[in-house]
Amino acid sequence: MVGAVGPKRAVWLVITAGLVLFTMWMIFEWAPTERNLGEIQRALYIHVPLAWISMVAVFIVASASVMYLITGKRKWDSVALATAETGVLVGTLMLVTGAIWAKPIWNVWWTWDAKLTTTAILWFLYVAYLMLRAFAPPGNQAYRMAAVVAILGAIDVPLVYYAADLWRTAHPELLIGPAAESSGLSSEMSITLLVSVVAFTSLYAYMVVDRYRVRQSENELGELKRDVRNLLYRPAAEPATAATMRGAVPAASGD
Amino acid sequence: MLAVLKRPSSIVLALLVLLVPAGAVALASAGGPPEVAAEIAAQENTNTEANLDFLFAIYMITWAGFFAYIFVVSRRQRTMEREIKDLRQLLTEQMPSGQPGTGKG
Repeated sequence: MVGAVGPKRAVWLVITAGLVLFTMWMIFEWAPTERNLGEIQRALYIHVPLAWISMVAVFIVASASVMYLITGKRKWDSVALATAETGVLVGTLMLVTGAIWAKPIWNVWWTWDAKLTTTAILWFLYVAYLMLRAFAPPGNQAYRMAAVVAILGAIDVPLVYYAADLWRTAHPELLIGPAAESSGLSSEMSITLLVSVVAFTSLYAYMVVDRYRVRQSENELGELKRDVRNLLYRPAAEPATAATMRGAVPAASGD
Repeated sequence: MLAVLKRPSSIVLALLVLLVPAGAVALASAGGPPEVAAEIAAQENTNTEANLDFLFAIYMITWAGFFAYIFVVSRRQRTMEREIKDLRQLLTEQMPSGQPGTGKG
C-alpha cells in the first residue's frame, strides 16, 4: 500500500523545506541588488531554476520513454508520466514568471523571440503528451504513442538551450548548463543562484516521487476494479478464485 | 511530531504559513543594507525598488502553483487509498478462497 510519507521521505521533505527557506533568505537578504535592473532582478533566482528543471524534466521523460519502448515495463511509463506532469507545471510557471519579468524590463509580456518561441513550442508538445495520455483509450498502444511524442518533443530541447547563441535574441545569455558563459553575476549572486537551483531541484524531485506513487496507486486501483468486475460478472457455475479471475484479465488492457 | 510528518499536506501547510510572512517581510526589507541600495540608486539614477509588485507576483504565483499541485496530488492519493482499501475489503468478503485478487499491496 502506498500510503503515508515514510521516515526517509519525511526527512527529505524537511531538508528540502529548510533548504528552500534558506534560499529565500539568501535571495532577499544576502544577494546584492543588481544596479541596472534593481529588485526585479531577484526574479532570476526563481526563473532560472524553473527553466533548468524544465530541461531536466524533458530529458528524464524522453529517457524513461525510450526505456519503456525498449523494455515494455510499466514502471518506465509511470516515471515518464510523473515527470511530464510535474514538468509541465514547472514549465508553465517558468513561462509565467518570464512573462511577468519581461513586462517591466522589455515593456511587453511576450515577444516572438527565438528562445521564447522554442520554449513555447516545447511546452505545447508536452501539453499534447498529457492530453494524449488523458484522452487516448488506456492500454499499451496509447503508452507507446505517448512515448514517441515525448521523444520527439525532446528534440526541441537543444534548440531552446542554444537559441540565444543561434539567433539574435533579446533573452540574456546562458547562465547554467554545459554552454554557460561568465555572466557578470557577482559571486554572491552566483552562489545564491546555485543554492536556489539545488533547492528547487530537490523540491521538484520530491513532487515527481509523489506523483509516481499516485500513478502506482492508479495502476493498483485499475487492477482491483477489473477483479471486482470479473467477480460480479463471472458465470454462475464457475467458482471465483483468484486464478480464474487473473485468467480473465485482458493482457493488453490498461488501467 | 512524527504523526504530523506522516501527512504531507500538514508539512506543506506549515511551509506555506512560514514562507508567506517570511517572503513579505523579506520583500519589504529586500536588498541588504538600505543605505547601500540607496547609494547605488543615487549613483545610477535608478529606483531599485521599482517593479516590486512584479517581483511579488512572480514569487506568489510560483509558490501558489507548487502548493496547489502538492495539495491536489496528496488529496488524490488519499482518495485512491480509500478506494483501494474498500475494494480489497469487498474482494476479500466476496471470494470464497479469501484471496484479494491481482491488486498488489
